[in-house]
Amino acid sequence: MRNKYYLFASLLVLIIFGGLFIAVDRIYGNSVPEFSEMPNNMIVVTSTPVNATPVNENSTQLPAPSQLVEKLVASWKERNLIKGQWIHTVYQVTSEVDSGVILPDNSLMARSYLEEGWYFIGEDGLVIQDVVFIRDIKGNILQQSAFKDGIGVNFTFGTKDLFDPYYWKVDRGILQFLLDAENAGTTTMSREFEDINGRYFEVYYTEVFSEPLSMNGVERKVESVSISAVFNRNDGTMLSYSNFWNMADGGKVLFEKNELVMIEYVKEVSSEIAEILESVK
Amino acid sequence: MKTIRPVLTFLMCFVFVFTTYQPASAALGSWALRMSWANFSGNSDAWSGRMVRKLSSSQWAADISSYTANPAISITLGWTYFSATEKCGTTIKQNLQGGARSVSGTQTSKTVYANTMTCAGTRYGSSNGKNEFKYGGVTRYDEWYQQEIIP
Repeated sequence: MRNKYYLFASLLVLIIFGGLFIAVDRIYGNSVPEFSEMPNNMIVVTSTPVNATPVNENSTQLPAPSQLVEKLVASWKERNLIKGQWIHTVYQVTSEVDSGVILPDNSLMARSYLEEGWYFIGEDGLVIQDVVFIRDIKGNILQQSAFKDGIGVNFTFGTKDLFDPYYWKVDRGILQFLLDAENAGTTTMSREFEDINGRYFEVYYTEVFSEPLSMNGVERKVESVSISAVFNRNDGTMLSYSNFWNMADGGKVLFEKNELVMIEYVKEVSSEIAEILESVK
Repeated sequence: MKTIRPVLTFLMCFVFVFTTYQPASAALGSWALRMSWANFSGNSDAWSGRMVRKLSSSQWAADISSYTANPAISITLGWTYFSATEKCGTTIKQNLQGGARSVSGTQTSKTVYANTMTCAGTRYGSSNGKNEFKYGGVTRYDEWYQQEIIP
């Protein structure tokens, strides 16, 4: 009985001191010292496009390209983020820069690969299940992951995490890139064009860093980054995306190119996909 | 015995709570700090930090730090490895190495810069590492990571 009393009293004291500790931690805990080696906290983007080439005289700055992309994305969402539907996509991803991802067989993940995804839309247009394959050009699986019931599993690396349902972005995040660039004062540009297959909308901009920067473990310094994306004007899908580094010593390096290989909307998935989802626990 | 029992109980509770204490959650652009070694010399404590920052529309950075505080004293500190990982959902898109460091001083830190990749789902960036502190012939390690959503 007396031991219980001591235990209770000790816990009570700890709760009181713990509360004080947390309060002090909140007030002073983040007062990390000024690290002498710490470079500038922010890269100041001061750019207007220097390398992007306007293709025709219809290039425009008004309305902002982000607003046009926002409209395209909104109309795509309205048509395709339908509860009970699967979105199936394949993108070809190409790069001239190593990802640094070491696979379980100790090999470095290929710079160029196919990214295949199956995304199931639930309530409120949120993805509640997915299966993603990263395959090399020969079709060998480099990474395989899946998400179901709030659990995300990367089968290749044997990791498991808790995740929230999410919005599937047909623009693969480019809209946010544009918004951030415009908010930072970067000039973004757009143009429309068409061919026998349809009408297209391209957005592009160049971010110039306040000083050349080494990124992604590449020693050569990057002076600016040129980004462009082409959307299908009719259905709002993003057809291609590219991100080129403009090097301080001259020349360009392709950091990332995405090309949409296929997109389809289906009601059911194959038994292979269903089995993978079953194993997410 | 009557005096020792409550003191022991309190000490055991204190040790339990202290050793299982995790730092308050940080946010994108602010340091997550953790006390890695308490009272290694008098009152001095060894701390480790992680930070994930979004720098611009297409750049982000991961930071790591090791330092001493209360009071700050010079020891050998650093980390045995440091890396920045970008994930799209559960798929690892890139994993950049920041190398190891071991220096004499009261504090040290390092940044790895990354170009953001496209992602149709939720993008995560993490700062990973194993801090190292050496003092009086004793070496302590603290391995942990801080992950944030990069919009």
